[in-house]
Amino acid sequence: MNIHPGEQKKFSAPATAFSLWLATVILATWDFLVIRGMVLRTYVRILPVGGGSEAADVITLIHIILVIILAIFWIGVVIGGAEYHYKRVGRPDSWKLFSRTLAVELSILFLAVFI
Amino acid sequence: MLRLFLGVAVLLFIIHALLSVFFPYPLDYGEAPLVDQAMRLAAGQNIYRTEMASPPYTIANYPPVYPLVLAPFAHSDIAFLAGRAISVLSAIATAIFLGLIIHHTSQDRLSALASGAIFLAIPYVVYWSGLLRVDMLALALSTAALYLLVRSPGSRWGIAGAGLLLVAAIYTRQSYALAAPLAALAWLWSQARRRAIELALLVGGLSLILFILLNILTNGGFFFNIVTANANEFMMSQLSWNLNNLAAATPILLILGALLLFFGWGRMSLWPLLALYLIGATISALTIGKIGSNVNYFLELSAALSLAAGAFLAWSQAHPWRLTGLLALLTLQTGLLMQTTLAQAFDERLSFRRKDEIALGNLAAIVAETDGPILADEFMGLITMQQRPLYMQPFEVTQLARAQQWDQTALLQDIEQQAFPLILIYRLPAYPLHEERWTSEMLAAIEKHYRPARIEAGAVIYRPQEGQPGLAIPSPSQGNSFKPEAIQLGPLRRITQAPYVLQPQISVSPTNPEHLAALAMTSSFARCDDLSKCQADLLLHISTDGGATWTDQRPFSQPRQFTIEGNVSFGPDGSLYVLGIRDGAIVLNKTDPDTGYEFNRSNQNEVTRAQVAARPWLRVDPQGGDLFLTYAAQYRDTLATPSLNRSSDGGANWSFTARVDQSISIADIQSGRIAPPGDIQVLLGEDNQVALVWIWRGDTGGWPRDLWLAVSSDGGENFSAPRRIGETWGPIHAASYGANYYIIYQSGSQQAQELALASSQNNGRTWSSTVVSGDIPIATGSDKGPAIGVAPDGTLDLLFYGLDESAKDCAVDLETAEAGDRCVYDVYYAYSRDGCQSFSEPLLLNELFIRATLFVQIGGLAQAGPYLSIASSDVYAYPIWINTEESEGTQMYTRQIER
Repeated sequence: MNIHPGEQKKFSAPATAFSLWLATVILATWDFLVIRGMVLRTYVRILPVGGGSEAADVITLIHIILVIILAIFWIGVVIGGAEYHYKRVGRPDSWKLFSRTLAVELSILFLAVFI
Repeated sequence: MLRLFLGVAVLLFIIHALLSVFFPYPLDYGEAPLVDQAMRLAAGQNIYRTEMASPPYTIANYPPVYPLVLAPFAHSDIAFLAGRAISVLSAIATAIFLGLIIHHTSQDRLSALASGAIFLAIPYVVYWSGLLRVDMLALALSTAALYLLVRSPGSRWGIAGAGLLLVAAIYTRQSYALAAPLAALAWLWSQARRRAIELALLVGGLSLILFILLNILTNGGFFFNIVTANANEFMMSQLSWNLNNLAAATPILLILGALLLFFGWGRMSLWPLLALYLIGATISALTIGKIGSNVNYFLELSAALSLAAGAFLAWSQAHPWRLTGLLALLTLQTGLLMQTTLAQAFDERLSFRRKDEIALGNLAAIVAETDGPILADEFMGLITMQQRPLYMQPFEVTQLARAQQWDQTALLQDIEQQAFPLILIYRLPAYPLHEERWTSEMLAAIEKHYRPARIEAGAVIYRPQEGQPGLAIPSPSQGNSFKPEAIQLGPLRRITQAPYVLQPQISVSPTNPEHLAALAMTSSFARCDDLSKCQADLLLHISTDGGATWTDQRPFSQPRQFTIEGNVSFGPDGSLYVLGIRDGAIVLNKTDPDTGYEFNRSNQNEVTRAQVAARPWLRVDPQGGDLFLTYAAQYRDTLATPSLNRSSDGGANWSFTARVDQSISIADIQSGRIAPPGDIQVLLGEDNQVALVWIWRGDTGGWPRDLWLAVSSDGGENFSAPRRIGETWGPIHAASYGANYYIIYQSGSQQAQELALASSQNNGRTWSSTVVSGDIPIATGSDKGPAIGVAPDGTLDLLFYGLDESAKDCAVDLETAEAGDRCVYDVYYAYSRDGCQSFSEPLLLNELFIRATLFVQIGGLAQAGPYLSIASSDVYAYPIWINTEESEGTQMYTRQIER
């Protein structure tokens, strides 16, 4: 079977974009957990003066707020990313956003090694 | 990625800065002297005194620029806030100037941003920028000067401005006369040599004129304070430790710095400035080996390394692969910096201090309500917070005294005359920091004429010692001894078949000397490393035939966790009391002979939950039958004090809690910083006289510990101020008979100890001491406590552990207690029938030696129990101890001694 170069490119771009989108979603989920752990860990390390139930309440509140914010970002990556890349599949701005998203997501995982 | 990392690092800097600036109490020893100097300058006083024959014994280690800047705020409540804000703003300004220097020469924003942000990410910068110290201001002034010179090297105005800034930096901190001026001259020399000479003349000339002027105005005091008084001892170990720390935190920056030095020439336009700045800053950093120096000696080097990193980035812009590699390395370096910042700037320093915020508030209140001069070290800032001047800077004058440049006699006399109502000495558990800050003579005088009344935030609060100074118990004499020929030893009797027993206690009924009660803690396993998987409970044994046969029962209901630390005692009417700690509460149960000593577990009574750490002791008044409970009780939520509870109705109600004036912060106890008071026991004298005796050491909790006594003449409702009456190398056991008080303790030195009996015949007013262990090498360790018993006729019975002959070389590390105890022991008995005039020679009681390796291990600690126990009647003595005669497990034994 003869496959023209143009056809191959047309065929692989959506699949590649879908794979990359899936990677961003997986990494975003991972980042969600990592950031949550990192922020709570750092808060406990840095900020509370005393212990007891009051400190535990504050941590619970921070946890709730943090989860809401992270969930918004996660939905942004999943739904916003899907919409954006679906409309621009195969275009340079789509690849550019993929590279930036993946770079930030990987950076966050690397950051968690130190914090 | 680097941007993200730098952003997080700068966020950490901002959080640290905000937490530090708004922390209301001192963060560092060096803050208060600067506030004090600012207050004196604001009042028009000279801060550079030449003679220190009279107080205040203070030193101004630095030139006057920073105190002058701080002076407007010195007499306000925001002195710390203002001073730290100056440092934070100076750090930010420094980062900006570093960035501008790179940007001006490269026009590259990323390199400029990286240079400034890396500087703010360095842990030394993060920590030091939150302190009221001179360094950040000096650094900001010097980097501002460098920026001016880089921006306009040929401009005369630029030279003049830079020169003034360099002089201002030098007169903020004298060590800034090296790196930045050297870099400035090197840079100008490479650009316009004439300007370099002009700058050298301006900076050198102006600095010299100011120096001469200040020296004349202060009669030489300026030189004495900033040069002579700064010449401290140099310690290579301190230098090495700090350099290792630097290498671990900034390895990539150091490599870049070295590469720049050796390969930057001709490749980077800024090389003369960068290279000389690096060299000067490195020389300056090496002086960190001086005693008392800190990470502020690394600040200039931090700035120089940040500049080097920025310069490397700018140089790599034209080479994509080199740039990529460098970005990756700098990202890694920033990660390391953040990791170190969290560990060192937060965990070890800021968070460590913030945890003490409540305790520091208590300390501040104590300082505020104390009139008169106060001596303090780490927390001198609590004095300046009251807008009161410092009386002394202990570290500085200690260094001068050691260099024989200051005569401390007048101060020592003041301490001996108790001229200070309050002395605060900060102690670290693992490092004798206070020995750097106070001379041994000062510490000895304070120990003799003051007593530790409270501990808060690791600081021992000393108050003047009431009454006679010095120890009441003299060195023990070798007393008279006699051969115990009249003694008849009964057979060895095993009391219980429980396989793993410890903490034995025994008591004899005063109404029927054939009736005995023995109590032990039983464990479900020989090793209880994980306490949650073990069962620990108290098991009581009753004998009504002089110890020949025993029956057992559990005196308390089944605990959820465990019941431990049992006490057993008969009252004068034959009632039997058992006390222990059950699920965190002190509980008491009572029975009597009419019920066959059967305990009704539903009658158990919770006495208190206020106990902290120390084992509770129960003593029954042999005359009136009142119950006395002694323990370390919680006080005002945050403190623990040796305390006494008394019950006149058999334990149904406890009438009061009397406390002695010695409180220890519970937070300090729980963090392991300070040991709690221990062995708190009551002595019942004549005519309503009561005394509390306990052991405690006001620093790390090692041995020896001080022996404390507080007396009461109203039955224990109010106590006198505690008095340090002696010291002991092991646990104590106390007993009383009429007006006679007895304390058995360990005297000697770390190498050799002997068991001594301190006795007082006048309710604790005067004491004598006699060695009672003869030639027996006694056991050391915090759980080999001896026992003392007094019979109704006054006969004194003693029981103690001795090292078995086969293990004479065996030594237990007193600090690590019995975790590694592989010794073998014997148990010895001695008695006196003439009120301590003479003692029988020690008599061996066990037949096979006792192996410490078989003791029950709880939480990794092998122990038989902290004390032995002995019950005394007029005719018999009943010792009790833990034997290890079988191949595994422990056995509780007694034998009847007729004397």
